[in-house]
Amino acid sequence: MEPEFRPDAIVEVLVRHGVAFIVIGGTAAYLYGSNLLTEDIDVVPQGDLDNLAGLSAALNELDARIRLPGGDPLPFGHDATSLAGSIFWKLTAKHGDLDISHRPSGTAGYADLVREAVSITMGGTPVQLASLADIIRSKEAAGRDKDRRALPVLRELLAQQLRSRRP
Amino acid sequence: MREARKRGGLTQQQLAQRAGTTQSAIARLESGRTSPSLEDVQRLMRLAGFELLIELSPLDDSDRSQIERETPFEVRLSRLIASTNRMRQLRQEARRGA
Repeated sequence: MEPEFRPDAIVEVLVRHGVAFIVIGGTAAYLYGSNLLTEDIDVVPQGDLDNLAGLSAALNELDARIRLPGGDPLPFGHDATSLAGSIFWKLTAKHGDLDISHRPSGTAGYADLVREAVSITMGGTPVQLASLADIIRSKEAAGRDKDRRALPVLRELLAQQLRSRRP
Repeated sequence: MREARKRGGLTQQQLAQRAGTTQSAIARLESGRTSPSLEDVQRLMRLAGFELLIELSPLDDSDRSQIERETPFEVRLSRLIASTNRMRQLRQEARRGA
């Protein structure tokens, strides 16, 4: 039985453990107005070891395991150092699937994304959402079919954003 | 323009220096607060190391019609959670019925 997808509950645990992170990917795109549903949340953590120690504690609370396509999840032992050692983790957790990426395609990671990130709340929890332009940049670079499908709507949303900012 | 600058590995300051303008002018252009001419955009993209290509494609209004304007993030979040979980229920029902 799949857990109910509750991205708000996932970010609440991350924030409670003091993790600095940016939400990007399909969930962020949906929040901006894309109509493509997604079943995971993509986060980009700040890469210093103190932050990754908080992330490790949050992943323990979320009972995160390694997600395998079509198979049972694998146990996931981790600490700050091991989390820093791989640029991408695909996980399944208590409140749904969670992808952790230090450098999403087309970006240089947290420091790159945080400059233009937007502060929002998810279920009352304050989080940083990658900017629409950065989500588009990342999806263009990733270039998978599902990314390309999302792009026309995201570009139109960005054009609307830019038009609405003009005096 | 922002995409080209970032792909070119340039800061706004570096692009401004190449273009003989100020960092704040580049920031205004990238944020959409000023509307550059097509020639200006082409010039800046070349300075970032890229060529701007424009192509004609058939009009597809479906992208626009799919966009909901100014829906609060929390409302979108509730909709995502409800829709995703409903989709999963339907998928499980379909698997059981197959």
